[in-house]
Amino acid sequence: MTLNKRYIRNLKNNLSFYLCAGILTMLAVLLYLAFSCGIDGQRTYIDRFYANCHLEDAQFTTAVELTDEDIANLETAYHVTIEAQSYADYVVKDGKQAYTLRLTKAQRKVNGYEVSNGRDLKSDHEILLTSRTADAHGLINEASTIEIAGKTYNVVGQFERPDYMFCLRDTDDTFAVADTFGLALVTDEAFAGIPENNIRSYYSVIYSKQTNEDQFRAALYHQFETSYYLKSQSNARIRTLTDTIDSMEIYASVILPLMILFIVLMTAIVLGRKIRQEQKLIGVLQALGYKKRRLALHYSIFGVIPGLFGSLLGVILALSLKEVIMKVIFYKTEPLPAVISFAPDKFALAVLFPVAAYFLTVYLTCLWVMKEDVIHMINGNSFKKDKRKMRMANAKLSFKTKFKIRQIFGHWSRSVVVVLGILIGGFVIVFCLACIDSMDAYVSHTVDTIGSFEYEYFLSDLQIDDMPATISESHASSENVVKVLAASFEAAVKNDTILLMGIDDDKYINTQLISGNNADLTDGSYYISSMGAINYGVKAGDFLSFIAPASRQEYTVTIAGVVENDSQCVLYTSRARASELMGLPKGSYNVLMSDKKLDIDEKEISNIMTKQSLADQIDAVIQSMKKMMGIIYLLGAVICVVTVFLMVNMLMTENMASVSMLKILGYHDKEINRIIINVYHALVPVGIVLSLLAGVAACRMNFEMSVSQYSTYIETTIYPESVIEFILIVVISYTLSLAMLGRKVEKADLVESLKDNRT
Amino acid sequence: MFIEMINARKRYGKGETAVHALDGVELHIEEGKIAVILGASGSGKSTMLNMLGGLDSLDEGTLIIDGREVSRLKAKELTDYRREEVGFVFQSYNLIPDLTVKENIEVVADIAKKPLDIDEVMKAMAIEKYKNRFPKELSGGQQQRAAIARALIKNPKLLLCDELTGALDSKSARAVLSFIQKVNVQFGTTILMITHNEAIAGMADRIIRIRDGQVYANLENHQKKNVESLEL
Repeated sequence: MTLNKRYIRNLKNNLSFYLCAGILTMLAVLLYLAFSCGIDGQRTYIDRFYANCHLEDAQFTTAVELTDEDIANLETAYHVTIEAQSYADYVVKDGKQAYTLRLTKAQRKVNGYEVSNGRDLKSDHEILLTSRTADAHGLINEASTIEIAGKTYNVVGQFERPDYMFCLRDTDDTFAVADTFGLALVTDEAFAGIPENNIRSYYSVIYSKQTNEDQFRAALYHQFETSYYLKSQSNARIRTLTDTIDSMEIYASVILPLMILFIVLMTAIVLGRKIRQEQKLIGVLQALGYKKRRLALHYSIFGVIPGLFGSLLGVILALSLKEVIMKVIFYKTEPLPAVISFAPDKFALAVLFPVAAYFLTVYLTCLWVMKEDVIHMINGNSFKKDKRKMRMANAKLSFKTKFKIRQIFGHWSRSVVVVLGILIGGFVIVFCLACIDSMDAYVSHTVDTIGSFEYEYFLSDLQIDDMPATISESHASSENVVKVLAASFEAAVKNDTILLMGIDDDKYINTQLISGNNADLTDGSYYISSMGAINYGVKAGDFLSFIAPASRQEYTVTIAGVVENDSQCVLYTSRARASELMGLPKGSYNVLMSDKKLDIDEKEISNIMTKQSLADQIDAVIQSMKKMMGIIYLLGAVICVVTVFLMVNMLMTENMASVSMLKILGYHDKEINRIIINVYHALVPVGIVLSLLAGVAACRMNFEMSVSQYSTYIETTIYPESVIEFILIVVISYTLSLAMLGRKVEKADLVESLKDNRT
Repeated sequence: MFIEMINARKRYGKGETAVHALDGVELHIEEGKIAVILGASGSGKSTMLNMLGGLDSLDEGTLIIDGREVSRLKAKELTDYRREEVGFVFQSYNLIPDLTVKENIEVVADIAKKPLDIDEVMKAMAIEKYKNRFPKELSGGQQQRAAIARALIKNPKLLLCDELTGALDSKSARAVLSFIQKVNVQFGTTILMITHNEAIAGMADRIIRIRDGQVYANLENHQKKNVESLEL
């Protein structure tokens, strides 16, 4: 019908509004689809990848070596698949820095691999690298070569192994840093050329439905003396990827739908208010004989336009940017192919929800407007039922103050939109800033809270006081050395590990309790680290149960206090009590802590952790997390600017009649701004405060939910500079929007305004 | 002469659709008089009022009001002119909906150099008892009286009324016109009313007729009537 020609004209006249509404819708749909369908897609991909590559269910070592016959017997008896996993670590120098490459060969039964880029190995002089390490060292071209132990390999591509998706050097490590450690795959023949004494091994096992895990582990322990056992659910190299997906699913199923709801709600409110302003024309069209339903449908298209435009653009962007978004989400783990799951319900929800919400809002608003008497509508006198309760007849206030009070409290839905507009964008910005600040604060203090040691040597063999040591006696008895007995246990309450640390001298570790006192380790009490307390939900006086991974023996201890340590799940006790609990001779130890580098033979050490390397690891991961937050921050800033612009546009449009009337009466622009527009300044701080509260709360919730994912608890912090930065973004967006839209008012044709001005 | 409009021209639109709203208008009105501009819709009377009120500017010609050449004023000076010299009353009242009657009047009193006493003006306009009501709570006549009170509070030298009684019944119209006449007598305000209602011309000192953007009659009314005797 002819009336429909208004669509294009209306679009041109209200371009800024439609653009803002469309962009907001687009961002909401983009975020929802990218996270929700992206996570679904990745989960599907990973399930297939794990199944194809036969991901282990657990890994273990035994004191008695398993022969091929033993493995075959165990496989038959317990319906399991077992394969020895071998590797050799080599230090490689690429000019800038030295890094460790873990050379592996193709596994046939457990923990296979897939080539993610390039091609598979064809000769003994070829090598595949994990993607992040290849990227970190610029070894991504086929022409790249790498020299390992005097042998030159051609890099022919990148590969991924399911048990190294979070590429930790040691399963006890917290952070994977591709700059310093990576995995490599060579042919069986090339691997066979590695000297025997450089090769280390462990076993990986896959259970079947018929397997009784407890029986298998018991048999393993009794027949082969299990010395180490780690379930895949407790293995950070494997768990981190699934944890990332799990936590992202929380965002995708809770936070993002809420975000969409708020954005759509705000846009719908603004749309509804715009329709109310059309009451005169609606009245005229009704008078001309248009039926209510037809008019409501006609106006509803004005809502469909930004909804459809934003939704479709959001879908296109989500599909186009899927690789970037997936890289942002899975920044810690090895990169996965960007897969977006085409879940029809979610796509339909993302596209149809905003369109339907805007359509319905306009449709219902239109019907509501048309409940008024047509004559009143034409005269612009509808909504007479609006009762103004804030008469303030006896209040000794100036008309300006009364006007401001009525503007804010008399038009509450408009005020809600103003606050909501700031809150939606502000929340995302504060959330990102708080996350970044918390991580910065974490980096700066966490390493110190662990302790003052500089070196931590994990010994290859158990040592005992007063017994001939396999390591140099001078080291064990040095004043600069503290002996520790450490072992990992399985937490009884969840698939997680806790480190039991038996230590008598607290010279190098922090033993300050969160209550303020220091823990007394000598009396044999058990103290838990603050991260452990959060992870297992325990406090002083509570019981904590844990299981020895090899013997499956369960222990229950009483927690005497909580030690400040937000980066490790540790149970502290005396060395004597730890030895007793583990059934080891009194005086046992397997770790040396020192503030100086010790000259110990490499063969005597299974792993060395330096405080600097720990700090570097934390810093490297924090930088990656900050990059991710930076991208979300940018999105938040765009949302903030657009919502504020949309909201100011609404304020300007709705107040145009009063503004132009005051101009006619002789008010200057500045005076008009002071009376009418500046009134909303009071709501900006409200929006800012609410954004700060919501953003910080969301950040705290995020860190609490992701203790196991980050393998650490990060205390929520927001620095004053960040608060100022956030306030500036909001204030600048608001001021610029006012300035840009203020010109609209300046240019308002007073003569035309007069025709539209109605009480 | 209080108002002098010499060879005033104003055109809206371009090319074939151009409309010459004012086409060489000559107008002279003495101070303290009531002048009524009569003309059909589209004759150019509202454009003339807008020019006199400093809401729009001439393309050509000169407009002098009380010795000030309004046609040369810039935007900021026009605002000051509206603020200090002119009072407006519109057919559709144009009161600010979020302000009560008294507060609507205060809006102008607040920026006037020598505002009159608000209570006195409200009393004169017989709207005292409605002072705490919002515009929507008043009848059309009451709203128009409030609009007149708002225009008068600054004690303007020139009061411009656009179809003052256009939206009112005859009883309310008569009451409003009585107030206008009272204002003219009491404050000596020059009043210019545009209307297409011939009967209203009876109360004017000067009757100006306009057609197609040109003044074709500008006559002194020697048979000026009291509002009560107008046949509205």
